[in-house]
Amino acid sequence: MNGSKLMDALQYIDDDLLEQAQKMRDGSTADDTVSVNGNRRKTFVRRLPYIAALAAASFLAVFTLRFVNGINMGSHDSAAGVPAAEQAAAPAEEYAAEEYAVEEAAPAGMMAEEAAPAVSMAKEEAPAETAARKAGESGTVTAGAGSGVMYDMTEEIPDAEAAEADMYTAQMASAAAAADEGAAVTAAEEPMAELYAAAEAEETEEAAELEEAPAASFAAAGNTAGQETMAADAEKSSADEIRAFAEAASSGQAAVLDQPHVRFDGSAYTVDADGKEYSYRYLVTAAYTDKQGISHTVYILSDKDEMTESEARSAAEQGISAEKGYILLSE
Amino acid sequence: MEDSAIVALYWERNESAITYTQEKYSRYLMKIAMNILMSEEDSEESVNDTYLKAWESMPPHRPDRLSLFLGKITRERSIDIYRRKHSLKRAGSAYSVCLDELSEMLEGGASPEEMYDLKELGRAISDYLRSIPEKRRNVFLCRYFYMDPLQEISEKSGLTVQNIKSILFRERKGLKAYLSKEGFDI
Repeated sequence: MNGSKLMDALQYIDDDLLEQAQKMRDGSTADDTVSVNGNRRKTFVRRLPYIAALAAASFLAVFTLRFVNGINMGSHDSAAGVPAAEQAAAPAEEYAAEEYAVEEAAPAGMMAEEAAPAVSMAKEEAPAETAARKAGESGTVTAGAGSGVMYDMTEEIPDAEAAEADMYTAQMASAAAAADEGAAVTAAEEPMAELYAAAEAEETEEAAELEEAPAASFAAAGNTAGQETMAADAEKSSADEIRAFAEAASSGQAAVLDQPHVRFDGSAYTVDADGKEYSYRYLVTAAYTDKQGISHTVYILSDKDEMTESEARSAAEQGISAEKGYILLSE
Repeated sequence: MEDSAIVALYWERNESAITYTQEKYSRYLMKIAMNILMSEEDSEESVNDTYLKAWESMPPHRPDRLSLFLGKITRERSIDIYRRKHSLKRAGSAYSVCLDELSEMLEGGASPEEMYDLKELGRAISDYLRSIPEKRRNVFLCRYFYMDPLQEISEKSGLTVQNIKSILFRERKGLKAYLSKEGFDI
Protein backbone atom coordinates (compact mmCIF):
# COMPACT_ATOMS: atom_id res chain seq x y z
CA MET A 1 0.00 0.00 0.00
CA ASN A 2 1.23 3.47 -0.71
CA GLY A 3 0.20 6.98 0.10
CA SER A 4 -1.56 7.29 -3.21
CA LYS A 5 -3.92 4.47 -2.33
CA LEU A 6 -4.63 6.02 1.05
CA MET A 7 -5.42 9.30 -0.65
CA ASP A 8 -7.88 7.49 -2.90
CA ALA A 9 -9.40 5.65 0.04
CA LEU A 10 -10.02 8.92 1.82
CA GLN A 11 -12.62 9.59 -0.87
CA TYR A 12 -14.76 7.04 0.94
CA ILE A 13 -14.52 8.60 4.38
CA ASP A 14 -17.90 8.84 6.06
CA ASP A 15 -19.67 12.09 5.33
CA ASP A 16 -20.44 12.92 8.95
CA LEU A 17 -16.73 12.95 9.76
CA LEU A 18 -16.04 15.23 6.84
CA GLU A 19 -18.87 17.48 7.89
CA GLN A 20 -17.32 17.94 11.33
CA ALA A 21 -13.99 18.82 9.77
CA GLN A 22 -15.70 21.17 7.37
CA LYS A 23 -17.34 22.95 10.30
CA MET A 24 -13.95 23.57 11.81
CA ARG A 25 -12.72 24.87 8.46
CA ASP A 26 -15.69 27.19 8.27
CA GLY A 27 -14.99 28.44 11.75
CA SER A 28 -18.35 27.19 13.00
CA THR A 29 -16.82 26.01 16.22
CA ALA A 30 -15.71 29.50 17.15
CA ASP A 31 -15.74 28.70 20.84
CA ASP A 32 -13.10 26.10 20.29
CA THR A 33 -10.88 28.28 18.22
CA VAL A 34 -9.99 31.03 20.61
CA SER A 35 -6.35 31.11 21.45
CA VAL A 36 -5.01 28.34 23.57
CA ASN A 37 -3.59 30.78 26.06
CA GLY A 38 -6.94 32.49 26.25
CA ASN A 39 -8.60 29.23 27.07
CA ARG A 40 -6.05 28.45 29.70
CA ARG A 41 -6.46 31.87 31.23
CA LYS A 42 -10.22 31.48 31.45
CA THR A 43 -9.83 27.96 32.77
CA PHE A 44 -7.45 29.14 35.42
CA VAL A 45 -9.72 31.91 36.63
CA ARG A 46 -12.70 29.58 36.68
CA ARG A 47 -10.76 27.06 38.70
CA LEU A 48 -9.26 29.57 41.06
CA PRO A 49 -11.26 28.40 44.10
CA TYR A 50 -10.22 24.83 43.50
CA ILE A 51 -6.65 25.88 42.95
CA ALA A 52 -6.61 27.70 46.27
CA ALA A 53 -8.07 24.64 47.97
CA LEU A 54 -5.50 22.38 46.38
CA ALA A 55 -2.69 24.69 47.39
CA ALA A 56 -3.99 24.74 50.96
CA ALA A 57 -4.17 20.97 51.02
CA SER A 58 -0.61 20.72 49.73
CA PHE A 59 0.73 23.02 52.40
CA LEU A 60 -1.28 21.26 55.06
CA ALA A 61 0.34 18.01 54.05
CA VAL A 62 3.79 19.55 54.10
CA PHE A 63 3.26 21.06 57.54
CA THR A 64 1.87 17.89 58.96
CA LEU A 65 4.75 15.83 57.73
CA ARG A 66 7.21 18.36 58.99
CA PHE A 67 6.29 18.15 62.62
CA VAL A 68 4.64 14.75 62.79
CA ASN A 69 7.30 12.72 61.12
CA GLY A 70 10.23 15.02 61.57
CA ILE A 71 11.27 14.43 58.02
CA ASN A 72 14.12 16.57 56.84
CA MET A 73 12.41 18.23 53.94
CA GLY A 74 15.13 20.16 52.19
CA SER A 75 18.34 22.03 52.09
CA HIS A 76 16.72 25.23 53.27
CA ASP A 77 15.87 23.81 56.68
CA SER A 78 19.11 21.94 56.96
CA ALA A 79 21.23 24.94 56.22
CA ALA A 80 19.42 27.05 58.70
CA GLY A 81 19.67 24.39 61.31
CA VAL A 82 16.11 24.93 62.37
CA PRO A 83 14.48 21.79 63.70
CA ALA A 84 11.46 20.97 61.64
CA ALA A 85 9.17 20.56 64.62
CA GLU A 86 10.22 23.92 66.04
CA GLN A 87 9.59 25.67 62.79
CA ALA A 88 6.28 23.99 62.33
CA ALA A 89 5.21 25.14 65.76
CA ALA A 90 5.70 28.77 64.85
CA PRO A 91 2.57 30.79 64.15
CA ALA A 92 1.35 30.42 60.66
CA GLU A 93 1.39 34.15 60.07
CA GLU A 94 5.06 34.35 60.95
CA TYR A 95 5.90 31.43 58.74
CA ALA A 96 3.92 32.85 55.90
CA ALA A 97 5.57 36.24 56.23
CA GLU A 98 9.01 34.75 56.35
CA GLU A 99 8.68 32.17 53.66
CA TYR A 100 6.20 33.58 51.26
CA ALA A 101 6.29 37.32 51.73
CA VAL A 102 2.59 37.64 52.29
CA GLU A 103 2.84 41.33 52.93
CA GLU A 104 4.08 41.86 49.39
CA ALA A 105 1.38 39.82 47.82
CA ALA A 106 -0.79 41.46 45.22
CA PRO A 107 -4.58 41.55 45.56
CA ALA A 108 -6.25 38.31 44.64
CA GLY A 109 -7.87 39.73 41.55
CA MET A 110 -4.57 40.90 40.24
CA MET A 111 -3.07 37.57 41.05
CA ALA A 112 -5.55 35.78 38.88
CA GLU A 113 -4.78 37.97 35.96
CA GLU A 114 -1.05 37.85 36.31
CA ALA A 115 -0.70 34.28 37.32
CA ALA A 116 -2.69 32.94 34.43
CA PRO A 117 0.09 33.09 31.88
CA ALA A 118 2.32 31.24 34.25
CA VAL A 119 -0.06 28.34 34.17
CA SER A 120 0.58 27.82 30.54
CA MET A 121 2.58 24.66 30.44
CA ALA A 122 3.95 22.51 27.77
CA LYS A 123 1.52 19.78 26.97
CA GLU A 124 1.74 17.25 24.31
CA GLU A 125 0.51 13.81 23.78
CA ALA A 126 3.77 12.21 23.01
CA PRO A 127 5.96 14.66 24.53
CA ALA A 128 8.62 12.52 25.96
CA GLU A 129 10.80 14.15 23.40
CA THR A 130 10.53 17.35 25.36
CA ALA A 131 12.78 16.08 28.03
CA ALA A 132 15.38 15.15 25.50
CA ARG A 133 15.14 18.54 23.94
CA LYS A 134 15.37 20.34 27.21
CA ALA A 135 18.24 18.25 28.36
CA GLY A 136 20.08 18.65 25.11
CA GLU A 137 19.65 22.35 24.80
CA SER A 138 19.72 23.93 28.15
CA GLY A 139 21.03 21.28 30.41
CA THR A 140 18.35 22.10 32.90
CA VAL A 141 17.61 18.47 33.55
CA THR A 142 20.37 17.65 35.93
CA ALA A 143 20.48 14.94 38.49
CA GLY A 144 19.89 16.19 41.97
CA ALA A 145 19.09 19.63 40.74
CA GLY A 146 16.71 20.33 43.52
CA SER A 147 15.48 19.09 46.80
CA GLY A 148 12.54 19.46 49.02
CA VAL A 149 9.91 18.79 46.43
CA MET A 150 9.53 15.05 46.71
CA TYR A 151 7.57 13.85 49.65
CA ASP A 152 6.28 10.51 50.69
CA MET A 153 2.53 10.98 50.84
CA THR A 154 1.79 7.38 51.60
CA GLU A 155 2.22 7.72 55.32
CA GLU A 156 -0.97 8.26 57.18
CA ILE A 157 -1.39 11.47 59.12
CA PRO A 158 -2.60 10.90 62.68
CA ASP A 159 -5.98 12.47 63.27
CA ALA A 160 -4.90 14.60 66.21
CA GLU A 161 -2.05 16.20 64.34
CA ALA A 162 -4.13 16.56 61.26
CA ALA A 163 -6.78 18.41 63.26
CA GLU A 164 -4.14 20.64 64.76
CA ALA A 165 -2.72 21.34 61.38
CA ASP A 166 -6.17 22.24 60.12
CA MET A 167 -5.80 25.48 62.01
CA TYR A 168 -3.22 26.51 59.52
CA THR A 169 -5.26 25.68 56.50
CA ALA A 170 -7.19 28.87 56.03
CA GLN A 171 -4.22 31.09 56.71
CA MET A 172 -1.98 29.04 54.53
CA ALA A 173 -4.44 29.24 51.68
CA SER A 174 -3.76 32.92 51.32
CA ALA A 175 -0.07 32.35 51.81
CA ALA A 176 -0.15 29.70 49.13
CA ALA A 177 -1.99 31.99 46.78
CA ALA A 178 0.60 34.66 47.37
CA ALA A 179 3.33 32.16 46.78
CA ASP A 180 1.63 31.02 43.61
CA GLU A 181 1.91 34.48 42.23
CA GLY A 182 5.64 34.50 42.53
CA ALA A 183 6.36 30.85 42.11
CA ALA A 184 6.34 30.00 38.52
CA VAL A 185 5.19 27.08 36.53
CA THR A 186 6.39 28.72 33.41
CA ALA A 187 5.56 28.12 29.83
CA ALA A 188 7.76 25.86 27.83
CA GLU A 189 5.96 26.16 24.53
CA GLU A 190 8.94 27.29 22.55
CA PRO A 191 11.15 24.28 23.17
CA MET A 192 8.13 22.11 22.55
CA ALA A 193 7.58 23.81 19.26
CA GLU A 194 11.13 23.26 18.17
CA LEU A 195 11.00 19.75 19.44
CA TYR A 196 8.07 18.77 17.33
CA ALA A 197 9.56 20.34 14.31
CA ALA A 198 12.45 17.99 14.86
CA ALA A 199 10.13 15.08 15.55
CA GLU A 200 8.39 15.69 12.28
CA ALA A 201 11.66 15.79 10.45
CA GLU A 202 12.59 12.47 11.93
CA GLU A 203 9.69 10.76 10.34
CA THR A 204 11.87 9.38 7.64
CA GLU A 205 13.36 6.09 6.82
CA GLU A 206 15.93 6.76 9.50
CA ALA A 207 13.15 6.89 12.04
CA ALA A 208 11.79 3.66 10.67
CA GLU A 209 15.16 2.04 11.18
CA LEU A 210 15.26 3.26 14.73
CA GLU A 211 11.88 1.77 15.38
CA GLU A 212 13.21 -1.60 14.49
CA ALA A 213 16.02 -1.36 16.99
CA PRO A 214 15.71 -3.34 20.22
CA ALA A 215 13.76 -1.68 22.95
CA ALA A 216 15.96 0.52 25.04
CA SER A 217 16.52 -0.36 28.63
CA PHE A 218 17.90 1.94 31.24
CA ALA A 219 19.44 0.99 34.51
CA ALA A 220 18.22 2.58 37.66
CA ALA A 221 20.49 5.24 39.01
CA GLY A 222 21.24 5.80 42.65
CA ASN A 223 20.97 9.07 44.46
CA THR A 224 23.33 11.73 43.37
CA ALA A 225 25.89 12.80 45.94
CA GLY A 226 24.67 15.72 47.96
CA GLN A 227 21.07 15.05 47.17
CA GLU A 228 18.97 14.79 50.22
CA THR A 229 17.42 11.51 51.04
CA MET A 230 13.68 11.49 51.06
CA ALA A 231 11.12 8.80 51.29
CA ALA A 232 10.10 9.14 47.70
CA ASP A 233 13.60 8.82 46.34
CA ALA A 234 13.14 5.16 45.69
CA GLU A 235 10.30 5.93 43.34
CA LYS A 236 11.90 8.53 41.20
CA SER A 237 14.24 8.19 38.34
CA SER A 238 17.30 10.22 37.60
CA ALA A 239 17.51 12.92 35.01
CA ASP A 240 19.69 10.71 32.87
CA GLU A 241 17.03 8.06 32.85
CA ILE A 242 14.40 10.56 31.90
CA ARG A 243 16.58 11.91 29.16
CA ALA A 244 17.28 8.45 27.80
CA PHE A 245 13.65 7.55 28.08
CA ALA A 246 12.62 10.69 26.28
CA GLU A 247 15.13 10.17 23.53
CA ALA A 248 14.00 6.62 23.03
CA ALA A 249 10.35 7.59 23.10
CA SER A 250 10.90 10.40 20.64
CA SER A 251 12.38 7.99 18.16
CA GLY A 252 9.35 5.80 18.46
CA GLN A 253 10.96 2.98 20.36
CA ALA A 254 9.31 1.16 23.17
CA ALA A 255 11.29 2.26 26.17
CA VAL A 256 11.65 0.66 29.53
CA LEU A 257 12.72 2.45 32.64
CA ASP A 258 13.80 0.20 35.44
CA GLN A 259 12.79 2.65 38.05
CA PRO A 260 9.97 3.36 37.84
CA HIS A 261 8.97 0.86 35.21
CA VAL A 262 7.69 2.83 32.31
CA ARG A 263 6.76 1.50 28.94
CA PHE A 264 5.77 3.55 25.95
CA ASP A 265 3.90 1.66 23.26
CA GLY A 266 3.43 4.55 20.88
CA SER A 267 0.15 5.73 22.30
CA ALA A 268 0.32 5.43 26.07
CA TYR A 269 2.76 5.29 28.93
CA THR A 270 2.38 2.34 31.27
CA VAL A 271 3.93 2.54 34.69
CA ASP A 272 4.40 -0.17 37.29
CA ALA A 273 4.19 1.40 40.70
CA ASP A 274 2.94 0.37 44.08
CA GLY A 275 2.50 -3.14 42.79
CA LYS A 276 -0.06 -1.94 40.29
CA GLU A 277 -0.02 -0.96 36.67
CA TYR A 278 -1.14 2.47 35.59
CA SER A 279 -1.57 3.82 32.12
CA TYR A 280 -1.33 7.45 31.11
CA ARG A 281 -1.78 9.20 27.84
CA TYR A 282 0.12 12.42 28.26
CA LEU A 283 3.48 13.55 29.50
CA VAL A 284 3.21 17.09 30.82
CA THR A 285 6.42 19.03 31.12
CA ALA A 286 6.65 22.06 33.33
CA ALA A 287 9.26 24.36 34.74
CA TYR A 288 8.63 24.59 38.44
CA THR A 289 10.13 26.81 41.11
CA ASP A 290 9.77 25.48 44.62
CA LYS A 291 9.36 27.40 47.83
CA GLN A 292 13.09 27.74 48.25
CA GLY A 293 13.32 29.37 44.85
CA ILE A 294 15.01 26.36 43.31
CA SER A 295 14.04 25.62 39.72
CA HIS A 296 13.08 22.16 38.64
CA THR A 297 11.85 20.57 35.51
CA VAL A 298 9.05 18.16 36.24
CA TYR A 299 7.77 15.42 34.00
CA ILE A 300 4.34 14.27 34.93
CA LEU A 301 2.48 11.42 33.34
CA SER A 302 -1.17 12.22 33.33
CA ASP A 303 -4.43 11.57 31.60
CA LYS A 304 -4.93 15.31 31.31
CA ASP A 305 -3.41 17.08 28.37
CA GLU A 306 -2.85 20.13 30.49
CA MET A 307 -2.63 20.78 34.19
CA THR A 308 -3.32 23.79 36.29
CA GLU A 309 -0.51 25.37 38.20
CA SER A 310 -1.75 23.86 41.42
CA GLU A 311 -2.09 20.42 39.91
CA ALA A 312 1.44 20.59 38.61
CA ARG A 313 2.65 21.97 41.92
CA SER A 314 0.81 19.27 43.81
CA ALA A 315 2.31 16.63 41.57
CA ALA A 316 5.74 18.14 41.99
CA GLU A 317 5.43 18.23 45.74
CA GLN A 318 3.84 14.88 46.22
CA GLY A 319 5.89 12.85 43.80
CA ILE A 320 4.31 9.56 42.95
CA SER A 321 0.59 9.72 43.37
CA ALA A 322 -0.70 7.27 40.86
CA GLU A 323 -4.11 7.04 42.49
CA LYS A 324 -4.65 10.71 41.82
CA GLY A 325 -4.28 10.38 38.11
CA TYR A 326 -0.74 11.41 37.59
CA ILE A 327 2.73 10.27 38.32
CA LEU A 328 5.90 12.27 38.66
CA LEU A 329 8.85 11.04 36.73
CA SER A 330 11.56 13.30 37.96
CA GLU A 331 12.33 16.43 39.90
CA MET B 1 -30.81 28.61 -2.35
CA GLU B 2 -31.13 25.50 -0.25
CA ASP B 3 -29.14 22.45 -1.25
CA SER B 4 -32.27 20.37 -1.62
CA ALA B 5 -33.67 22.88 -4.12
CA ILE B 6 -30.45 22.83 -6.13
CA VAL B 7 -30.48 19.04 -6.17
CA ALA B 8 -34.08 19.13 -7.31
CA LEU B 9 -33.04 21.32 -10.24
CA TYR B 10 -30.46 18.75 -11.22
CA TRP B 11 -33.12 16.08 -11.14
CA GLU B 12 -35.36 18.23 -13.30
CA ARG B 13 -32.43 18.52 -15.71
CA ASN B 14 -32.61 22.28 -15.30
CA GLU B 15 -29.29 23.82 -16.27
CA SER B 16 -29.72 26.64 -13.79
CA ALA B 17 -28.71 24.03 -11.22
CA ILE B 18 -25.13 24.51 -12.32
CA THR B 19 -25.44 28.29 -12.07
CA TYR B 20 -26.75 28.08 -8.52
CA THR B 21 -24.08 25.53 -7.63
CA GLN B 22 -21.46 27.85 -8.99
CA GLU B 23 -22.80 30.80 -7.04
CA LYS B 24 -22.89 28.89 -3.80
CA TYR B 25 -19.89 26.62 -3.94
CA SER B 26 -17.34 27.91 -6.46
CA ARG B 27 -15.08 29.41 -3.78
CA TYR B 28 -15.28 26.32 -1.63
CA LEU B 29 -14.45 24.04 -4.54
CA MET B 30 -11.69 26.30 -5.83
CA LYS B 31 -10.08 26.17 -2.41
CA ILE B 32 -10.01 22.40 -2.44
CA ALA B 33 -8.61 22.32 -5.95
CA MET B 34 -6.02 25.01 -5.27
CA ASN B 35 -4.77 23.15 -2.21
CA ILE B 36 -3.98 20.18 -4.42
CA LEU B 37 -2.98 21.77 -7.69
CA MET B 38 -1.52 25.12 -6.69
CA SER B 39 -2.54 26.43 -10.08
CA GLU B 40 -5.51 28.64 -10.80
CA GLU B 41 -5.82 27.38 -14.33
CA ASP B 42 -5.75 23.73 -13.34
CA SER B 43 -8.08 24.39 -10.43
CA GLU B 44 -10.64 26.03 -12.69
CA GLU B 45 -10.45 23.00 -14.92
CA SER B 46 -11.03 20.76 -11.94
CA VAL B 47 -14.00 22.77 -10.70
CA ASN B 48 -15.58 22.88 -14.16
CA ASP B 49 -15.15 19.12 -14.37
CA THR B 50 -16.90 18.94 -11.01
CA TYR B 51 -19.96 20.74 -12.35
CA LEU B 52 -20.06 18.40 -15.31
CA LYS B 53 -19.68 15.33 -13.12
CA ALA B 54 -22.39 16.62 -10.81
CA TRP B 55 -24.69 17.09 -13.79
CA GLU B 56 -24.01 13.53 -14.89
CA SER B 57 -24.41 12.11 -11.40
CA MET B 58 -27.71 13.69 -10.41
CA PRO B 59 -29.76 11.67 -11.12
CA PRO B 60 -29.28 8.92 -10.09
CA HIS B 61 -27.63 10.37 -6.97
CA ARG B 62 -29.55 12.56 -4.56
CA PRO B 63 -26.91 13.69 -2.05
CA ASP B 64 -27.97 14.76 1.45
CA ARG B 65 -24.98 17.02 1.76
CA LEU B 66 -24.34 18.69 -1.54
CA SER B 67 -21.18 20.45 -0.37
CA LEU B 68 -19.52 17.17 0.60
CA PHE B 69 -20.71 15.50 -2.58
CA LEU B 70 -19.21 18.24 -4.72
CA GLY B 71 -16.10 18.49 -2.57
CA LYS B 72 -15.35 14.82 -3.05
CA ILE B 73 -15.72 15.14 -6.80
CA THR B 74 -13.40 18.14 -6.89
CA ARG B 75 -10.84 16.41 -4.71
CA GLU B 76 -10.89 13.29 -6.85
CA ARG B 77 -10.71 15.25 -10.08
CA SER B 78 -7.90 17.46 -8.78
CA ILE B 79 -5.86 14.43 -7.75
CA ASP B 80 -6.39 12.99 -11.24
CA ILE B 81 -5.17 16.21 -12.81
CA TYR B 82 -2.22 16.34 -10.46
CA ARG B 83 -1.23 12.79 -11.35
CA ARG B 84 -1.59 13.46 -15.03
CA LYS B 85 0.57 16.57 -14.85
CA HIS B 86 3.05 14.81 -12.66
CA SER B 87 3.40 11.86 -14.97
CA LEU B 88 3.92 14.09 -17.98
CA LYS B 89 6.81 15.69 -16.21
CA ARG B 90 8.54 12.39 -15.67
CA ALA B 91 11.19 12.38 -18.29
CA GLY B 92 12.25 9.28 -20.14
CA SER B 93 9.44 7.05 -19.00
CA ALA B 94 7.32 6.26 -22.00
CA TYR B 95 5.89 3.39 -20.05
CA SER B 96 4.42 5.74 -17.45
CA VAL B 97 2.93 8.03 -20.04
CA CYS B 98 1.42 5.14 -21.99
CA LEU B 99 0.07 3.61 -18.85
CA ASP B 100 -1.57 6.86 -17.86
CA GLU B 101 -3.05 7.32 -21.30
CA LEU B 102 -4.51 3.84 -21.23
CA SER B 103 -5.81 4.38 -17.72
CA GLU B 104 -7.61 7.50 -18.86
CA MET B 105 -9.21 5.52 -21.63
CA LEU B 106 -10.82 3.16 -19.13
CA GLU B 107 -14.00 4.76 -17.88
CA GLY B 108 -14.24 4.68 -14.12
CA GLY B 109 -10.56 3.95 -13.61
CA ALA B 110 -10.39 1.37 -10.87
CA SER B 111 -11.70 -2.15 -11.35
CA PRO B 112 -14.59 -3.40 -9.20
CA GLU B 113 -12.11 -5.25 -7.01
CA GLU B 114 -10.00 -2.15 -6.59
CA MET B 115 -13.06 -0.08 -5.84
CA TYR B 116 -14.12 -2.58 -3.21
CA ASP B 117 -10.66 -2.49 -1.66
CA LEU B 118 -10.67 1.29 -1.57
CA LYS B 119 -14.10 1.40 0.01
CA GLU B 120 -13.05 -1.13 2.64
CA LEU B 121 -9.94 0.88 3.32
CA GLY B 122 -12.00 4.05 3.54
CA ARG B 123 -14.34 2.35 6.01
CA ALA B 124 -11.39 1.25 8.15
CA ILE B 125 -9.96 4.76 8.12
CA SER B 126 -13.35 6.09 9.17
CA ASP B 127 -13.47 3.59 12.01
CA TYR B 128 -10.04 4.62 13.19
CA LEU B 129 -10.89 8.30 12.99
CA ARG B 130 -14.01 7.73 15.05
CA SER B 131 -11.83 6.28 17.80
CA ILE B 132 -9.80 9.46 18.28
CA PRO B 133 -10.88 12.80 19.75
CA GLU B 134 -12.86 15.06 17.44
CA LYS B 135 -10.32 17.83 17.31
CA ARG B 136 -7.54 15.48 16.31
CA ARG B 137 -9.83 13.88 13.75
CA ASN B 138 -10.69 17.25 12.26
CA VAL B 139 -7.04 18.19 12.05
CA PHE B 140 -6.28 14.91 10.27
CA LEU B 141 -9.08 15.38 7.75
CA CYS B 142 -8.31 19.04 7.12
CA ARG B 143 -4.82 17.99 6.24
CA TYR B 144 -5.33 14.76 4.32
CA PHE B 145 -8.77 15.14 2.86
CA TYR B 146 -8.98 18.87 2.23
CA MET B 147 -5.18 19.21 2.12
CA ASP B 148 -5.26 22.52 3.92
CA PRO B 149 -1.92 24.18 4.75
CA LEU B 150 -0.69 23.68 8.30
CA GLN B 151 -0.86 27.39 9.07
CA GLU B 152 -4.49 27.49 8.03
CA ILE B 153 -5.37 24.47 10.15
CA SER B 154 -3.59 26.12 13.05
CA GLU B 155 -5.70 29.25 12.69
CA LYS B 156 -8.93 27.30 12.45
CA SER B 157 -8.21 24.90 15.29
CA GLY B 158 -6.51 27.27 17.73
CA LEU B 159 -3.54 24.92 17.99
CA THR B 160 0.02 25.82 17.17
CA VAL B 161 1.54 24.63 13.93
CA GLN B 162 3.89 22.43 15.89
CA ASN B 163 0.99 20.90 17.74
CA ILE B 164 -0.66 20.22 14.41
CA LYS B 165 2.48 18.51 13.18
CA SER B 166 2.64 16.48 16.33
CA ILE B 167 -0.98 15.39 16.02
CA LEU B 168 -0.52 14.41 12.40
CA PHE B 169 2.63 12.49 13.21
CA ARG B 170 0.91 10.56 15.98
CA GLU B 171 -2.24 9.86 14.03
CA ARG B 172 -0.34 8.62 11.01
CA LYS B 173 1.41 6.16 13.27
CA GLY B 174 -1.85 5.28 14.96
CA LEU B 175 -3.60 4.73 11.64
CA LYS B 176 -0.78 2.58 10.38
CA ALA B 177 -0.96 0.39 13.47
CA TYR B 178 -4.74 0.17 13.22
CA LEU B 179 -4.76 -0.79 9.55
CA SER B 180 -2.09 -3.36 10.17
CA LYS B 181 -4.14 -4.83 13.00
CA GLU B 182 -7.18 -4.93 10.72
CA GLY B 183 -5.26 -7.02 8.22
CA PHE B 184 -4.50 -4.44 5.56
CA ASP B 185 -1.26 -4.84 3.72
CA ILE B 186 0.75 -1.88 4.93
